Amino acid sequence: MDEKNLIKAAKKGDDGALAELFQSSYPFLLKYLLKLTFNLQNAEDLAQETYSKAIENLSRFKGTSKFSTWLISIATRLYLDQERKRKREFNWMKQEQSVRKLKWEAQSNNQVWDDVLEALGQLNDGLRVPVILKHYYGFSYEEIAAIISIPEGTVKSRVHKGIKVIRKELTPIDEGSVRISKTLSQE
Amino acid sequence: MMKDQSGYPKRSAKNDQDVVDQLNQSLEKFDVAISFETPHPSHFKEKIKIQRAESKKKRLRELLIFTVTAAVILSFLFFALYLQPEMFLLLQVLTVVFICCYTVHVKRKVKMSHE
Repeated sequence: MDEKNLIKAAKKGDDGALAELFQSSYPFLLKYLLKLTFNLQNAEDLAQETYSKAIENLSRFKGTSKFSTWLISIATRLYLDQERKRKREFNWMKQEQSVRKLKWEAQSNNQVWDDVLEALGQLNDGLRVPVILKHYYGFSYEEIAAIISIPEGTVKSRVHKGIKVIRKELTPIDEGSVRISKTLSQE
Repeated sequence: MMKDQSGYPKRSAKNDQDVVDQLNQSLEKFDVAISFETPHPSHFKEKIKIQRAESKKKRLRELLIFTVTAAVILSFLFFALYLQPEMFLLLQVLTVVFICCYTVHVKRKVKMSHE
């Protein structure tokens, strides 16, 4: 059965079809959440929560977008809500620790953890989420604005700022010092 | 996977495009490198069953709370209307003022969180 038919069947109450949709979207969703959280346990918990919300709101899914796109919008909102609560609890250290843990796990498994991922991990959620959605998943500014519930102009400036911050992080220190010494010699 | 880079500011566009390309490459490698187990459909089926049962319970609980609260508020209002009409009017005015203040407060909060 293709996705449209599975969605139709799931809306009619076929749990088997819904389970099939969930299973096929699971790797995509988990990988997306892992890029936001940098924590496998947290990503899995959020994926479970996303599926719970999807079950509750399945009747509202119009089918104009792909099922996985709909799941991503639910997951993003859940993640941002979670982070808002976390900020209130001053749990920022946990995020720092989870980035380090994932980095260590990736390195110990001979996986890739380069400067770009390091810079991405240092970005705050307000910048990281729009950057990933725009440049990796190809969402339009309008779609991101609807997902995060912020004006389109704010999304544009956040994406631009996010890339600027990453670029700054990736600029070698030598290059910066050369620029400074050039300026000093000109003076 | 489509990568939409349209609508990007033209100034510094080249440098930014390089960063975007690097970012996409790293994330693609990251996606390939991640390994995890995808649960069997029966696992999801079980979760769906549990979730549906929980939602049903939650809806019934919410309906009960709503009914009881509505009954208490309505009986209080009728009581006030028949015994003390001034009190009824005062309550109406206070409710409107409260709703206005609350709406302004929420809007301000949302605006601040966006900034």
